[in-house]
Amino acid sequence: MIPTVRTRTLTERERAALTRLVEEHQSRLRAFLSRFEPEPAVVEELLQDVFIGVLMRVEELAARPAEEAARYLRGVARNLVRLRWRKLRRQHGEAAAAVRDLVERSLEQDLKSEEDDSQKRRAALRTCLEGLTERARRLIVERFFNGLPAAALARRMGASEAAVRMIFLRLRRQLRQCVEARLRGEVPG
Amino acid sequence: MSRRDRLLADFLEGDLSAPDARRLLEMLGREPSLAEELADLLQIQGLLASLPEDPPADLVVRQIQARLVHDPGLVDRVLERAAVRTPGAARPRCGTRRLFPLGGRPHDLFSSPAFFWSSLAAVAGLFALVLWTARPAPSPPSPREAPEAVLRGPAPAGGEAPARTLPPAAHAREQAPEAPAPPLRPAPVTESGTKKPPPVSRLSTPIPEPPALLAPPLHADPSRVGRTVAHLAAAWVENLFGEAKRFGGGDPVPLRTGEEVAVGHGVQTAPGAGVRLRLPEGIVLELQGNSRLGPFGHPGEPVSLEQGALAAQVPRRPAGRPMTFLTPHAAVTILGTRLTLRVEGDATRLDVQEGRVRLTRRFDGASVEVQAGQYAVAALAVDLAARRAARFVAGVNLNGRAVRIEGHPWLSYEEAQAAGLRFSHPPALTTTSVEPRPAADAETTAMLNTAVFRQGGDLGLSFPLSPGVYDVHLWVMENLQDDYRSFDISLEGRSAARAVGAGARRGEWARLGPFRTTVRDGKLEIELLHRKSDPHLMGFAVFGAAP
Repeated sequence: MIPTVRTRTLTERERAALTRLVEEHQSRLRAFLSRFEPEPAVVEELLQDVFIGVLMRVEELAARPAEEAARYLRGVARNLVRLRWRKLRRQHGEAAAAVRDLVERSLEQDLKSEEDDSQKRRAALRTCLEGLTERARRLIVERFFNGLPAAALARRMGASEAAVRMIFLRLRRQLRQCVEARLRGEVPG
Repeated sequence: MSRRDRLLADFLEGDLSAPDARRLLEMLGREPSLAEELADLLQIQGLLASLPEDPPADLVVRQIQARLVHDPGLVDRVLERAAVRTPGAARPRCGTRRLFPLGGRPHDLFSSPAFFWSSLAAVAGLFALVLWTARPAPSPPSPREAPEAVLRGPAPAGGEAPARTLPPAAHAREQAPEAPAPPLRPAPVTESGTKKPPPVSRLSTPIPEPPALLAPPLHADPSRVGRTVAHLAAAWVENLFGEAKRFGGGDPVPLRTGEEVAVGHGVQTAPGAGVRLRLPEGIVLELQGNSRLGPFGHPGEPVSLEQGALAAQVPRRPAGRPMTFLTPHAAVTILGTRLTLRVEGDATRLDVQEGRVRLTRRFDGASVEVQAGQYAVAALAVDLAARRAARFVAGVNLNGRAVRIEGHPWLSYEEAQAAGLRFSHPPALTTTSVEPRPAADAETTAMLNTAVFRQGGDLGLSFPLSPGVYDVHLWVMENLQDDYRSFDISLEGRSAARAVGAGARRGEWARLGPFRTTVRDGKLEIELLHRKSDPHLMGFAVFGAAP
């Protein structure tokens, strides 16, 4: 059986249903995807791909209970993330691919988890960010919100790139501890 | 700054050198919890980038719409990549999961039709029992519980649906033998060609979640691997040139001549490599360099060419049992022929040397019959039509007599020199009497046993050609000893093949290409770039590239 079709513009009804679906689910899907793909541009593309992947049943999905639709969309997102990992593995050298493989095995535990706490994590992270120093917050904004590379930040700060990378490693660790503590219900000091 | 932290920081920045990757890998081997830390830090990094406000929904929809307009094949690709079942598409039956490119579980013993039919009755009984017992208080599915599509019942009114009504993809992966589910009914098509929304009554049926892409690695259960390989060999490696790997059961494994490729496993070749596979019923496939043949199904099931090119020899098939090749863009159905199939970017090109072949474009279902000496291209915005195949321009038997290769008359070495064949350095000449593996016809054997080479250095050839676009094929055979040499090939200054000859055994030969190249200055330039020992070449053929 040869698959057919699927090239067309959206009908009005599909467009309306898709808008509803995006409105309702983009935030949690984006949070979910972001945990497994650090590049914001790639996350946006994957997010769009998730909705493109369900175009054929978009009206049906929009009529479903939100939780049910969310779970379905997350299933599509999972597949796309795994596919992206495969693609990345092929692009790397043998050792780098093996490193990725080990890290992805750890990530896979969270990826396949039926409990999606990505929204909670994101909220906790937002709170933790407020606990950082002003300078650290500015660095985070430049690096992760505005997408400035570490090398550019290093030039701006008059520091070496290695030093800037270390600063970000420490910040990530600090935020990780804070988020985990908040998720456990502890308020970090 | 510790070395450990520097490696972690570089990894997170996506800037890990190859030696550092090896160091980090060693570290991960000594300290397994490090992988978890890296995974957590990556998640933090991603979440940080997701903190800014979400864009308005209608902007996202507009962006999606724009992508759909500019990339008409997008929906199709995403659907296949994400392994999403559409309402009109039948759920893959047992033994056809491999039709999901890159997705689906590898075939195993459990997906054989025999297993399917023999277990259907037992599974049905089990399902009935599970349904009955699950009604009052659904319990989480056990690893060997029946698949979701058969178990699905009415959706719960509000609250969390029980896992079995909409099971996570991960559960699907953990279920050992997934029995086939009844196909979903095709949705009616409206006048505008779009699918109608499903009737309201169907809304009470939970949506089956898309199948997970990852399959449990076969090496997870050694006993299963043994059975799979012993009973379900799909192909045999008859001949190998350069590096080829088998994939589908964990990390890719280098292939060796004589080895079996099991059902559920695929084959990929390195640039410049080639592998000749023998399938049941006398079918022979020659996979060219930098190509990828999707996981094999059972005998008689379609064979997927995901990337690159292959040549096929298919003995006449019984009526009603054609052989089918699938590429991302086309389905090729044949009853007995010789053909070449090539996937390039967004197009699939079929060249037929013998017999007749039906090429069906997957995007819209349009099809065309392609006869011997013709070719057709399946791609968007390209007329689907059979055209006369590429024009043979010239062939040269280096250091040998005039020969006829694949029906085309080749020039002898002297004739080629008279026509303007030149070298960057005076080449060394050799004539051997090596038995080609696989065996070749007398003319090809003669051609493969004469060659030009250069000891331990690069060798360039130039041959006069009118400016234009050409497809170039190169013939090489290891004529001295196993794994003797390795060299790169460039055409018109652009890399065409790398590490040619690496790992080749004495007598192994390959026709490399076709390499598409543009000649601008009136001569074709071929460079053999030394890596190990002596680069050499037996012959080359040039075809006018079809538009």
